[in-house]
Amino acid sequence: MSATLRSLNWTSVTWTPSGSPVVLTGVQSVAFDTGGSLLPFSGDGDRAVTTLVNDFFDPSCTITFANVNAASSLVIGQTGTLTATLNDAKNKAATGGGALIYTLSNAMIENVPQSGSHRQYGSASVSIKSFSTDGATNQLSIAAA
Amino acid sequence: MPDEPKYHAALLPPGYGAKKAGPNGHALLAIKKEFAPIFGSKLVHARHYGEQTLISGDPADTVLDRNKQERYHWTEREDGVLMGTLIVQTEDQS
Repeated sequence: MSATLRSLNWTSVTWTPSGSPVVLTGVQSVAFDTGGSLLPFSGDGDRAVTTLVNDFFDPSCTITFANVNAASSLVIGQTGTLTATLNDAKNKAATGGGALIYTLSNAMIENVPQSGSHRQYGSASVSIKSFSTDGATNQLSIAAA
Repeated sequence: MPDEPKYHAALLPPGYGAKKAGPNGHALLAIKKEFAPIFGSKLVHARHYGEQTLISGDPADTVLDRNKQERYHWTEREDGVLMGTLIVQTEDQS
């Protein structure tokens, strides 16, 4: 059961605050952003950037899903942990099969827009940001299942 | 009761997982295979710490504590990997 090195579909997308976890179903997209940024410097007679460093990171995540009912359990400003599994194309979420488990620690819900249209499935999304406890270690981690 | 692991985390140099896995391998699976038994954990979570990668069994682990003090005592292996032994338990990070 070797990993295909191809990913397909998200499962076990879960928001875990201090209370009961909220499992998001009908997930159509999950987008993690590592949130890196570079700070360029130039001065004097420079006509190009002469120093470039990664000075900051600000990881975040946006999820789009169909279970609008679950969206009502997501509270803006609430802190918790977000986990989501990106399945291996063939082995799905099997242990050792190549699936990736993403975890955004110290996360906080920013916004939960919800919508529906005539003859279309209702849809919700949640945008989540996070904060660091040490100001140095990225809050977004990835593990092999 | 299982023995307490000697190491609780590691700092990997850039490209360590890819080198370990080989050209058609899975870097995170290679890291898990090597380090899960060392940490005594089911999963091995990886996240960036500057140009290095911090790996440990708990995704909420950090290199420093809230007071910017080292949480681990680091021992360097011959291949450049820093093996960390926890010296300070962090408080609840929620």
